[in-house]
Amino acid sequence: MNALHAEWTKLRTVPSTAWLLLTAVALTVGVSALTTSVVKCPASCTADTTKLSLTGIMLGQAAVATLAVLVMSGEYSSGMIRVSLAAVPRRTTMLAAKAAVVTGVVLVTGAVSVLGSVLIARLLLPDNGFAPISLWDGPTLRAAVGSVLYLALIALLGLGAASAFRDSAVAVTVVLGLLYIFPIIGNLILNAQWQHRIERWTPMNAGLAIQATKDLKALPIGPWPGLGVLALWVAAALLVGGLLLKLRDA
Amino acid sequence: MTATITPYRSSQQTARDGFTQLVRSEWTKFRTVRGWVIAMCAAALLTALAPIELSATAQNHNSLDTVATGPAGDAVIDDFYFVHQPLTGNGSITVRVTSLHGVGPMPQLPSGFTPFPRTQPWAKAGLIVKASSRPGSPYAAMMVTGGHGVRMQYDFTHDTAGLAGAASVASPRWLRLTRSGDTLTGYASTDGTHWTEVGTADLAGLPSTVQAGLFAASPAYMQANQSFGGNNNGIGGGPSQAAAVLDHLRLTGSWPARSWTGGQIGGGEGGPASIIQSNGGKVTVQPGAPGPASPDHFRQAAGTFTVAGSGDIAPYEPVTDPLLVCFYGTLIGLIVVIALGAMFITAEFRRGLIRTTLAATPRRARVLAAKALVAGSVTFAAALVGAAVAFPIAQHMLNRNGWKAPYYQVIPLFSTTGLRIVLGTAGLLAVAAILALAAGAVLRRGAGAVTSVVALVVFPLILAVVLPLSPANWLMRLTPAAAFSVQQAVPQYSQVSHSCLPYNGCYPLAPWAGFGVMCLWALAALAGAMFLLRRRDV
Amino acid sequence: MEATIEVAGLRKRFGTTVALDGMSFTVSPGQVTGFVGPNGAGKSTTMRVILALDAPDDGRALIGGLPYASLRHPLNHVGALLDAAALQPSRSARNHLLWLAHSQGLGTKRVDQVIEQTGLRPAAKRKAGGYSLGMRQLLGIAAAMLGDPPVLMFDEPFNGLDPEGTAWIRGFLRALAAEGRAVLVSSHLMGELQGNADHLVVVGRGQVIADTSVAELLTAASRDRVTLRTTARPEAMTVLSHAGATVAATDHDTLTISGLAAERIAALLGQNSVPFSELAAHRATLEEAYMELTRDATEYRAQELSSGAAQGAEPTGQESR
Repeated sequence: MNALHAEWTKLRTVPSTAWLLLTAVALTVGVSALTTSVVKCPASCTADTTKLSLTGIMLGQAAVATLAVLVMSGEYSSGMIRVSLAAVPRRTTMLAAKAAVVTGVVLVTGAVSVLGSVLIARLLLPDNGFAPISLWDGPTLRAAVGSVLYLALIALLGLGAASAFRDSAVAVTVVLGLLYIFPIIGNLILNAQWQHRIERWTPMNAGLAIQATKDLKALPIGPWPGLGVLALWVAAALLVGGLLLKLRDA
Repeated sequence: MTATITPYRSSQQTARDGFTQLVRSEWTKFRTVRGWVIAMCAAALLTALAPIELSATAQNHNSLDTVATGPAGDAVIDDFYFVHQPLTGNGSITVRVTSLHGVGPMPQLPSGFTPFPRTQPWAKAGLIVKASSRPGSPYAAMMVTGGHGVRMQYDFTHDTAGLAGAASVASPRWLRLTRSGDTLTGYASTDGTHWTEVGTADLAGLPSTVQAGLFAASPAYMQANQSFGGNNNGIGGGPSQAAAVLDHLRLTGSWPARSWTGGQIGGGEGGPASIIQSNGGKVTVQPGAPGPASPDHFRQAAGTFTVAGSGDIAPYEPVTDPLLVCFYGTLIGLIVVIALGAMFITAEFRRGLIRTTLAATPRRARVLAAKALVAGSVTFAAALVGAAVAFPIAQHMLNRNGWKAPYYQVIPLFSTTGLRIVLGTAGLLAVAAILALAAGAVLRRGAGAVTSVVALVVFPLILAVVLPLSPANWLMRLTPAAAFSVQQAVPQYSQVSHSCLPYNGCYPLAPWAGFGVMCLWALAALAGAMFLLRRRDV
Repeated sequence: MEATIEVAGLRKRFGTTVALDGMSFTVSPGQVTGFVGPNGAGKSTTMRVILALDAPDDGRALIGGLPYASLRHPLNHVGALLDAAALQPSRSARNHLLWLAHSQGLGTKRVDQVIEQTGLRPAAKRKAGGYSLGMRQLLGIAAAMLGDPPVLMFDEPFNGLDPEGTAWIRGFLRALAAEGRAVLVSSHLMGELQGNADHLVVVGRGQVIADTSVAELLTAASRDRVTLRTTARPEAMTVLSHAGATVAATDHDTLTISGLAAERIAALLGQNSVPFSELAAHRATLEEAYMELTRDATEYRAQELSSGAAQGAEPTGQESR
């Protein structure tokens, strides 16, 4: 409990935290509003409007991942890690406390971002010839809640990577590379089998299946199994990061 | 004690005050951190391996298209309806066009596709002089088009604009082609009296007897379709047909008028319309509605000709650019060099080493310029090696996987396109590293710099997929991601309507122009970084 | 070019904190000038302004009459050690010196000379990240010596050094000054400078409190005070007051006298048969003189510390050795 309190104090007293959280909300809502405003019905009436209005998550996650990475690697760059580990000698406890605090903060930020995106979509969609989306609609609610959970999982992925790599730039590079390279390659790769594999098993492609509300049968992976695949990536990252944290000298 | 002091003079006198020594200093900095050197070698290796890996798994679907081999040996589409007769020696042919419009039933498309415009912008009809009726043989043509006015085109890749506006009874278009030896000259007129030269074509080796006459064609309509969250993103389309009404046909010079024969050149596209959908690796062909009715291609009554045709006379552009797709693998190396570029300066901020650097060189803008030069050159060299190795091997792999002539032409490394792709890829990575360096100087934090540059350079490629074509193209004009157009392997011609998506190889900007956009971003970022570095306390 | 540092009227604020408040002094060649003051007095900021790393709001700093930013090969004019920890840990010491040398158009020969001079040779090829604080200080000094400059600045060079290292640096500084160089050494501990500095610039709250030679400072601080222990206090006070001394009763049998030398007091008391058990001349140490001078600045800091904001990690500056 003390460890949790300490981590919360550390997180909220660093100015970059507030900036990154604001950036995450702004990027998510901004990109969502942009994509929702340019897709119009006579041209593309089959659009999955729920997924469309949550597009910003794809960029907002970069700020969330950066925040999570800095929570851990910031301690290494300042040498604070020695003070932290002297105060909380059980390293797994420290990692767990960080994970809990970051998850909490990101869940709140994610909820704000998703609500903002959905509200703007409700305003924009009727003008573009679509029916407005509603959170009372089952699949839409699942997509919205799932997007918040997705952001939390991305934060944990960042935390795990930072525990493993320690340097913030390296950890951010690995996380963003893992997230962004597969969807691009997956869209292009001239091999249907590999395309299918990428869509099913890579963190961003699989995780964002949670946002789909149309053509669910045609999805390469279902919404919840998709989020499950991301959770497996996160578990692996935290396991490796936690082990390295435990075994290495600080 | 202080009275008899002789002030000390430094024994180290250096005459030169050059930028070179600064560059040398920054180079020493780079090469003496083993981790950076290893990472740069890894970036070179990834730049080579990723395209090779992607090409090794690539499957070819482009045999769906019918292509011929053009005069330059490249793949061309040469399908049209030809009303012709053999003509020998020099002479001239003149005609008046009063109408060109799309005809026939439209293919039925799946939901999500917008209905086709009936008259295709590049539907074409008019006069043509062709070496033979063999598809792909040399030709010169004067034509009216559905949406691009009068054009003179020859040998598939050459296109010159003439009078603007569409042909109609009220405002007809007169066309004339004159042969003199190997040279064909095209003229256009609105009244048949006052003629303007549109262009000349030099068709070396044109036989004495040629096939000349009237033609009509209308290219297959292809449309980029994105369903925004659904699963059938891709490109769809089907054939179309156009009919032209022509009169006042006149032959002069040594060309005597004989009777005209109508016939289809090339495969034509009169069969059942098929809907082709291609989404990277997935290609589906769905049967569509019956194609354009084709029994009545050519009618002649009282000096008025009606010619209807389907197909196109144009260079062949495949739906996917396989080499460009494989070169997207260089993204992995790109992300590595972005990290290195940022860390080259943020590592100094993090440890306070920047003070040592700036105390040694108080002219701060020069320090940043030297750093940019070193980061850029080292990245360029590493990426150049990677791309130059990948280029021939990836093409060999593509060839092995069925990407063969005429659908796919192997591009030699030492050709304009080959060098552009390899040097452009190296330049793309180098400029990205400089952009990251500048972002690092502005933000002073490694993580922040890497995230913002990745968001600027890489994220647009992801966002482009979920945006409609027009905003997606703006993204590819304005963001640094425009630079990926230097990797475009298949040439794009303005006289072909492209319907592919940016990430399939259709960029709104020409290759070097797209690269220029990224250079402008890097320059602006460097200027901002220099301004802040000079102004801020460190 | 003259080997001097001139600092005139420097002012700088960081937000609401006044870091420099009219800082002015001159460092002359041929002597070691101590730059002392409590933490936060503005020593490091002044050094950064001299090196053109921080821009002052007002005032100027000149090296041999020129602004630092106008120097083309600055390391040939000024060598500075600001922060010994400012190193890329994965780069070896020799390579660290090498890039710095290249930036001045100097070669490997000079790098090897300073490595030799500072005794770093056995460790020169090791990664600087594995260095002890003392070795990092030596590397920083080697870097400062690269251009063989006539002006040298060292910020807290004694931090983290063992007694052997401290002695080495003292000798080194003296040798540099003897060659005619201007040497400015900052410290928050006056004791480190005793028997080392010729001249002192004492600062507090961003201003110069005293700019004086060590001898003058000591005389001023001692003020010839003499402590007298006697059972006949009234008599002693009468006798000494008549002789022109200022006498204060400090305890029931102790007097503190100023204005008369101890020998004169002894003679006067003997002539007038006033008994006394102890007569002690009071010599101020440099530390006491410094404490006296910086009392204001110190009180200011103590208040700041006690009034909330716990800055636990900051080392306290007032302990003496």
